[in-house]
Amino acid sequence: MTHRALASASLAAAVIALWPSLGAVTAQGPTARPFTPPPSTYSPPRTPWGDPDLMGVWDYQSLIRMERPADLAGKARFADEAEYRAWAKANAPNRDSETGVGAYNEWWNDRNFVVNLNTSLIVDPPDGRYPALTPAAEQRRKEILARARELASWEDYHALARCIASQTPNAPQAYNSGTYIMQSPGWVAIIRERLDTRLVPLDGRPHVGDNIRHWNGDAVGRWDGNTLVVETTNFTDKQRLGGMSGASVPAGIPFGSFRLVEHFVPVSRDRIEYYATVVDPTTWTRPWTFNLPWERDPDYQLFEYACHEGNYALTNSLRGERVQEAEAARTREAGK
Amino acid sequence: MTRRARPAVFAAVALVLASFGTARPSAQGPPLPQAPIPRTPDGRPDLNGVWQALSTANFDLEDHGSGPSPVLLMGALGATPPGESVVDGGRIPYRPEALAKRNENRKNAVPGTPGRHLQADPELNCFLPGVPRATYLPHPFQIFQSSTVIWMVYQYSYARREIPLGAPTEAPYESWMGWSNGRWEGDTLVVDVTGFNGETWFDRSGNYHSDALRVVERYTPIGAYHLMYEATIEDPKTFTRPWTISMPLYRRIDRNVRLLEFKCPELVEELHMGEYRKR
Repeated sequence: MTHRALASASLAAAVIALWPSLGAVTAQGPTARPFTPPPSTYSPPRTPWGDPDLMGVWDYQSLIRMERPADLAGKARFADEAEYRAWAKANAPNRDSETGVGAYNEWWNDRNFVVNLNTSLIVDPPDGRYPALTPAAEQRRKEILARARELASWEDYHALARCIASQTPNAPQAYNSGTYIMQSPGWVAIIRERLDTRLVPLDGRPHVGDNIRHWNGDAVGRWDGNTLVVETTNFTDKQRLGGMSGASVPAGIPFGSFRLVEHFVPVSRDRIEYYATVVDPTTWTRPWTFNLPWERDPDYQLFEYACHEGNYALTNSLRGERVQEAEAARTREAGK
Repeated sequence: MTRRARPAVFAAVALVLASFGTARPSAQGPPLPQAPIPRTPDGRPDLNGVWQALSTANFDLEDHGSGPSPVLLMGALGATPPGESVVDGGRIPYRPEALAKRNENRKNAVPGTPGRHLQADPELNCFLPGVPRATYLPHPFQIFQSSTVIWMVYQYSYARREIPLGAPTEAPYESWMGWSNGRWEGDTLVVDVTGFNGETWFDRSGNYHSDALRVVERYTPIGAYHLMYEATIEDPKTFTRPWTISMPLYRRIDRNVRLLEFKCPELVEELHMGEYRKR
């Protein structure tokens, strides 16, 4: 149990205080092509059984946000690394001024940002913004947010605050995002320091049946040349507050029964371009894709993330809500 | 019979045909049957795959007859299946005061009331199981093996272990699953595990240890479909001498076998926090 794990449970309070709005959404055509990542000429070393060898620890801290900032509208990429670095210097976060319950100062935050010349993680739609939600999803989002404010039960907290999952796909997160890729013949394991281990069979088997639903879905994969392609379905519809952990994911997006297609494109010994495409016509008016660069970090040691074992914050938060409700009721009663 | 099950039959035939080897792992006992074992390109036994214990050790490491459910309303659904001891010599060599604590644990294992009871069996609370218990929980686990590192990923909760095969390193912190250093001794994978906290139990019957625990595990393939698993347990605060458990592990060859999610933190939320749900 780390300090970080203990405090992660109080993240929910901060999330609730800081609802990010979904932001302006540009209208998009409904008939987007399936996303295909740009090819790479890099050929990684091979495992003894002949698969591309991606084994080791990777990390994906990102200064680039999911959506393109308004002041960079129309500019999809920085001209070069110098321009990125100048922008990064001006936009580096510093949370030391944050106070109050749920605040995370710089002590918490790994700041090992991977250089990324894209100005948004979302690369499709090309404007770097989330596509519009369907009307039904927009309605469901409002309901989720309304319930979440009430904090009626643990179900109104993010899966991470409940120590269940950091969820899939992984957007950047402030800390503990180190991810170990381990391989065996016919398998890839994606081992995230925070809670989740995704096991990806490569033998062409079908997904699990419809009645089996997972927080991280059911993944099956294949090699397309040197690119690992993973398709994940069978997600539970119990996700709350956005299906992905990490920065800049709009709150309340009702991730439910979606299909996720991920491309892991090795572009050098130390870099994977990771693309995640979310296909969910009941939620989104078109598929969308984000591109997060992963960088090899041989010095990163994954530690045990014993989150649930010390998760008193969730209980205490709910208890506090009930105490406040009881006090408010007494006050109302006294005022009659 | 499925197509997938056929190799198991061949293995059984091979087992009968093969001359009985003499390679018994470290503990005393009759020699085990030996069959050819798959190997990795670097010549080590290939442990990759999904494995599971079939013993009742998770109920009680020692001899135990069948017993009633700790929860009355569960009837025979919650009953304890009988099993013989997996401990060499039958009994765990507790210090007298530690035996008293074990018996106290046994009474408190299933409190029977809502809440987060720390005196209960840690499995009841969905806490990480520790070692060796992770191996014989009623869940499969998957081994990933390279020439430099082995990962063991357990279906139970988010339990897993990284087992480097290089120069041993000191445990940098206390943890539920401990700090593992692995090495090969012939065809046996030996894993030396230290750095435990004192929070885990060995079974549902209150058998336990302190933070002085050291576990040395031995995984010895005795064929393509079986590993012999042994764990020697040292903890001078709790036991009068080191002691060893052993049991076979079985390769799961079910069609499309894979670990599924058993994210039990979700499954104990009502138990732990139900009293704070808005009415």
